[in-house]
Amino acid sequence: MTGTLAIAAREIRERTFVFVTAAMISLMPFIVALLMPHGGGTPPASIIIITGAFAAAGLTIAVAIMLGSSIIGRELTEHRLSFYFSKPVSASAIWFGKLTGAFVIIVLCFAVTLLPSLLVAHGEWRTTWGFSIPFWSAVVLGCAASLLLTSHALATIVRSRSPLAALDLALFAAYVALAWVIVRPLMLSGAFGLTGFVAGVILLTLPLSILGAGWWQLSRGRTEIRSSHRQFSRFFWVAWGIVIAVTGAYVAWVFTAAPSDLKISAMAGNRRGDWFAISGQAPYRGDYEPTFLVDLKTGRSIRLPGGRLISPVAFTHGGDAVVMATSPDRISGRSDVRVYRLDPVYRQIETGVSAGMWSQVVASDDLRRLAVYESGNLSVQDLPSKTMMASVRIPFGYATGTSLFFVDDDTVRLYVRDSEDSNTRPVPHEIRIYEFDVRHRRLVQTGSVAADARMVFFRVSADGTTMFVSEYGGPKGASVHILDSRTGAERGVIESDVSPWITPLANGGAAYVSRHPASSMRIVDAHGTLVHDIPLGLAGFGSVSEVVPGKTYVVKVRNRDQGSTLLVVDAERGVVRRVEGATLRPELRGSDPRTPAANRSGEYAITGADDALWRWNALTGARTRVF
Amino acid sequence: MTDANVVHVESLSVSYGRTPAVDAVSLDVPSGSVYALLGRNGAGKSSLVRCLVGQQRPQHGRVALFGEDVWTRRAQLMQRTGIVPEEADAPPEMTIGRIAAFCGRLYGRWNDGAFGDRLARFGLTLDQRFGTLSKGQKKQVVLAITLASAPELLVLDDPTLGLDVVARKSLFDEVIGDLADRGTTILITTHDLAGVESLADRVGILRDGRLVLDEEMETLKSRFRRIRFASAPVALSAGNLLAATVTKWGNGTEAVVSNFDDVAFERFRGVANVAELSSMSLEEIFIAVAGGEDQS
Repeated sequence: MTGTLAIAAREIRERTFVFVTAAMISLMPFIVALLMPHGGGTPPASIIIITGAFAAAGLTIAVAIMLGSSIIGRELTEHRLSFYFSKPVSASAIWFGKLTGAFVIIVLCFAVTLLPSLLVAHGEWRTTWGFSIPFWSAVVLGCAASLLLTSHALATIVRSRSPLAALDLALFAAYVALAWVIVRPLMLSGAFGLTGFVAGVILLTLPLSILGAGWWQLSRGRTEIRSSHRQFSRFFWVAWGIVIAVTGAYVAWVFTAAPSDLKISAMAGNRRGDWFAISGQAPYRGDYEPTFLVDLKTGRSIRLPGGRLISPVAFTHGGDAVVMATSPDRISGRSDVRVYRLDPVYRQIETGVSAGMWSQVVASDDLRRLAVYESGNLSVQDLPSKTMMASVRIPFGYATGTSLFFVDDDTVRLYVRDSEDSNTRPVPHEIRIYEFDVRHRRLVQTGSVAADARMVFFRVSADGTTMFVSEYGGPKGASVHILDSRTGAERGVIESDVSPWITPLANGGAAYVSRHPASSMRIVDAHGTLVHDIPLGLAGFGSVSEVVPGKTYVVKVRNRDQGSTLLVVDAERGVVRRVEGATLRPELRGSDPRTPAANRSGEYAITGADDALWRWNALTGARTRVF
Repeated sequence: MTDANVVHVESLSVSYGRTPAVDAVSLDVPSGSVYALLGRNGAGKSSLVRCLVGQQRPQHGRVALFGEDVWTRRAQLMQRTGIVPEEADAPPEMTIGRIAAFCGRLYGRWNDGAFGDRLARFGLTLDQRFGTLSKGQKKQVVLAITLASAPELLVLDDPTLGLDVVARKSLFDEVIGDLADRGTTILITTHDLAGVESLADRVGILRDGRLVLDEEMETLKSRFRRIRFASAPVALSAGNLLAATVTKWGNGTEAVVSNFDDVAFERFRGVANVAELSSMSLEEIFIAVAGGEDQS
């Protein structure tokens, strides 16, 4: 310790000129403020604090680079390091003594340069910069410490004039490439938190590896410059290599997450309830959320490229295929559109189509057509030939919400909204309905729906004929209009205690959970007339899924106290059965506004209390664990 | 190695790339003795000294000081070892006073008074910057610092380089002689053979990295003789004499023999035409041994 302190003290004393320079530069902000008293309308105190901050950061960084390139490298070149090695001090004391001295110089230099500006104008700091002085100081000093070590590494390599420098350069390029190979898949999977963590570990261990390499360099290389360089490189590349190998192994392990590891956060299923896309976090893998297609019948799972289920998962209306977009490329922001045929045989179908983040994509049931709506343009692809059949510009300003589906192979129907929901007051909404004739490349507006409410939601019945538009926060409170889905012509209205989350039923009616006066499941006919009102026995928002038309329904109710509760309702008998220890996860919906047809098989995917995935039959109550 | 050996070098080899600098050198320096390590420029002396004081790791072999491995125990061993390097290496921007203060914190046996006295004798003051001193003065400062730590082993790598004649004589007679008398073990590399001749107990000569000679000074000087013959050539083998060098001397021959023996020589004198027999200085012996191709 004595040796370390003696060497640190010597380093500081030797470089007192740095403090004199810092003291002189600390006056610069005041001179600048004097020379430009009304500098562009900026108050003098702001000028002082801005100039002072830049001067302190600039000088600190410059001093760090200067010290890093000279504390060891220069003495090695000038054969003066033997002065220390001929004394009773260890190599560790020399290295850490010199580093401590250099860092103290850097800190003092920073403080001396910044302090006068802070004393005069510290009140301006927050308003000028928007972050705290300790935070900024830590950033500057952290950067300076890293640069101190990095410039030591460069000085060691350059000053030795050894051919080994070429190998260093090659290894650096190889390691950077490796780091990119490690980090890129995480980035592409949308796990930006984990990407930041892994990249941070790789970057942070760079100066730490140099720190260790410097110690090894002096311990093993001592006074001979080429030997010193050799030892530095040996330690540094091995240490950083180990870090890169470990992070690489970790990232490889992250991607081994199986469906059984997931704490499921998002789910989407087809109408038969046999195929599901599930996504969720796995232990020790940060925010990486892999997505799997799972066949509930067999438990077979297929890992989908990318990560989190962030793009709408569009099961085709028939449920035999799914359309998904991969996680968007970080640079272009575009995703590849992929189609996965599920039944009868799983197969991935390349579309050759890419889409932006806010685009809407649907496929026809027979997988012959793919429609993409993006930035006001609708285009239709012929999937077997991978050629674009037609495209059209939708003449309706900036659409904030668009849904679409194939009425038949040659007709796409679009519902385009051009209004934002409001949390505070009713605003005018308009939904325009278009049909695009692909074969004749003709766009026709077939109807429109106007509403005056805070929020507007709509669903289309499974057969595509009826449209249910929920107005929430309108002049009359909540109401649902039953409309012709092609023209928007009104067929009926539901006006009392209606929920915005309404489920179109197979008979043209609808079901919803009413909250007042107590929570109940209500079924209305195609004109909005109440047919059933079955008390649920617990309050909350809810959604309904039709199993056997007119008889069996699965209802999910959420409230603040009890969380999510699953119920099976027998509408004929008015009996409500509570399903214990089961959660029906919120389902992601695609761009197709049609409600899936009744789930006559009664098959659902649920998560149990243990977060495991179960196959559950609402008709029989049978449960089979999938993962 | 015995406990009496302060320095023990065993099969030491150093090379730079494919060029060997020190080749399988083994030597011992007994406690309290003065060992003169001689060699021409590039013979490998400095590499050997750097290995000897733990500043450079040899490719092969090992060095022990006071019975401990110098590579692994360097910091501890430097408490007992003083080093005067070939090039004075103190930081140029430091004053002599600061260098002394710095070193004083590191040595347990630092003697400030002895340092001041020696500095005064050299005519130097504490406030002089090291970088502004002449080569000789720098050497003197380093020597003063080294001796102030009262080392048990003193390693001097060409200490007279840059010193004037007076300082050189003072170094040998007063400093090294005094230390030797007090029992300090000294290993010295030098080109000043006259200066070291009267002080060294043992001599080692390096040639192209190999230790070609390592023996007591007295033995060395007793076995080397210069013999001049009036006629040429002379068959030295007749007297069982080994010639280190044979050169022309006027019309006759001059031979340096490396295994001189009084009795054998008297028998040889009878059959050879010996004109002159003389003993040799260390410098002459060194030239004969280390001169290499220049002398043949």
